[in-house]
Amino acid sequence: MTKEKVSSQEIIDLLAERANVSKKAAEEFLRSMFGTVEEALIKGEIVKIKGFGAFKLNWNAPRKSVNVQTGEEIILPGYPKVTFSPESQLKEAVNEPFAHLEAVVLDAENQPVVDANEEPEAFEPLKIFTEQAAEIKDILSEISALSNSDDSGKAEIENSETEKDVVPVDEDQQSANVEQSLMQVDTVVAGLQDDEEDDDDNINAEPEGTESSKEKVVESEEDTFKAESVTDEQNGGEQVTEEVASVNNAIDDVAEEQSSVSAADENISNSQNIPEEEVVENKEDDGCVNAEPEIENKEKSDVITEQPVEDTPDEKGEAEKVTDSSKKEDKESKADSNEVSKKIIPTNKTVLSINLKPFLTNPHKKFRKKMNFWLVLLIVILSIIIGFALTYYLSSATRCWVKYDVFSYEHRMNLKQHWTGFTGLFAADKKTATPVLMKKQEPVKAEKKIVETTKTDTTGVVEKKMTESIPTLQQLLDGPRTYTEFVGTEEVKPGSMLTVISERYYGLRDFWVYIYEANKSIIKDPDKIPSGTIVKIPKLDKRLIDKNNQQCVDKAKELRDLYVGKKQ
Amino acid sequence: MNHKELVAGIATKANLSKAETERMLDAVVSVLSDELIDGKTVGFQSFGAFEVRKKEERLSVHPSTQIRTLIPPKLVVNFKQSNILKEKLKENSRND
Repeated sequence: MTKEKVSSQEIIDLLAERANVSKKAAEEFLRSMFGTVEEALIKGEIVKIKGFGAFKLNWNAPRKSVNVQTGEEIILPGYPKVTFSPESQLKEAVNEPFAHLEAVVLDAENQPVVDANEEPEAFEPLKIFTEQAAEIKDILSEISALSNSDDSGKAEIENSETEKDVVPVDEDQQSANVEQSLMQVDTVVAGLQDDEEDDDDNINAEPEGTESSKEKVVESEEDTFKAESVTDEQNGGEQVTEEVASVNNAIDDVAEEQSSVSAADENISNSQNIPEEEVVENKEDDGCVNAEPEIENKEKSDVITEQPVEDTPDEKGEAEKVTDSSKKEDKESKADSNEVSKKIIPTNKTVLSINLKPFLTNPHKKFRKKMNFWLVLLIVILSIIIGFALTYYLSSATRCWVKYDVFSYEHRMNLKQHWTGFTGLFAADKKTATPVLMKKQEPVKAEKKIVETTKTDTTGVVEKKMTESIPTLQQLLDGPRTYTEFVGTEEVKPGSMLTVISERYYGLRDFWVYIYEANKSIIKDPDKIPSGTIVKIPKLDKRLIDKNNQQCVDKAKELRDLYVGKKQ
Repeated sequence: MNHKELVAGIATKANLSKAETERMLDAVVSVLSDELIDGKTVGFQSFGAFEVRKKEERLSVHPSTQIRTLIPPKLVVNFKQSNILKEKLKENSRND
């Protein structure tokens, strides 16, 4: 932002222009205005200007400071200060470039926001499915309304007419079967839809007992379904979905379902528009597709109409024939779907319950299964890693035993530390008192074991050395201390002493002597360590720095007296 | 001293009617506001300078909850009194 300075003269000019007064008058006004404000301020009043802000006189108290050059302390005198606090109106106007910015909570953001991100992801598929389910339900209810009127229209048709209805079925099938190679998928679906409707018609038209028990069941079921006014269209929808599935072999179930349902919707609505003229219409449709075979079909159908009772078996037979003879996929699919549709009708209710419900619930379950699968996988991987780590740690520990039972005191020390560290780990885990005891007992036991093993392996001389080299606490205290392992380094800062460092690392100030011992080469005087010195912190046997053990504390004090006394 | 009193004070000082003073004062405020909104610094030698400053964005930590919040940058109006005014006030306070 360029900070352009505007002089009072410019303000006077602008004011004169805006208030339509002479510049002199404007200047005069400004002067009197600031004069009034000043006077009010001197009186100790707060001066408020509407739409602008408020002036207030504050007292800046005298304060101490340091002369930068001489380092002398000086006292800055107090002085009055006029403060200006703009009105919110002006504040907002000035801050407009940044007005869109808002304070962002960083820490609270991390968790909830992540959750918020996860949640939509997690429930998005569910949402989609519920939405789609709702859509499908709507469509189904629409179709049911339509099919109801359909049925009523059909009911009006007399038996003779329904017999005629049978005719187009054969036409449809034959013509469709013959020319399926030419037909496109859409027309196939449409044809199938026609078939279905015709099937329904057949069932309505056929007298009871003429056909197999299946169709009786169908008929009775259909009656009940009419009452329910939902099933018909569900029939259609479901059949169509299966047909489409077999024809298209499409992957996306959802899209298919929707499209097929919509297709069913269209088909049924078409048929519903002209319920009584269905027959003619079907014929015309077929005629549009192919004119020549229709004639033959008609002849055949004429024959068939004389024997209305045998219509459906003929159909079936033809369909089977078609399936046998058909080489093209379209044919197969159509025949299959015919069969399927017929099969589905009797087992209507069960199919519904099986097909629709899983469709709605499946994605949910799948999703959960996925989640569970990943969870289990994660746990398994974690447990494997932990197992590896444990075995490695144990094996390394045993390796230490093998390596280091080669006698030197130093190595034994290391081993001790290693072991105590190991047991300490468990102690820390369990947070009980017993492991602390274990800590002290176990190493001794282990030592004994090793002594036993080495007895068998080594000569008596070595044995002697071994027994000598086993450090008991007393030996640890009395023996010379070597510092080979370090847990870290620490830079000595002004004000930080070895005692402080000791307390941080060992838990007691008195153990600073060990740090001093380990850094004797660097530290000349433990009381005066130059800042910046990097001190190594030795790794000590836990028993040696047991602050609850009076022996250790005494030892440390003894050492302290030794070093401090030496210095003096 | 509120707005009304200020208007009355200026009116007596500049020998203007209150209505006229009010109109002039509104004009002054609008002129100053416009200049400030443009990001310009307006200085009056005898009084002080109005200046727009940018306050940089910063992290604030809630002392008890330790929740850190990023405060966005903003523009604020700052007033710096002139030395003339400062001396005047100082003298006045000394007299007191």
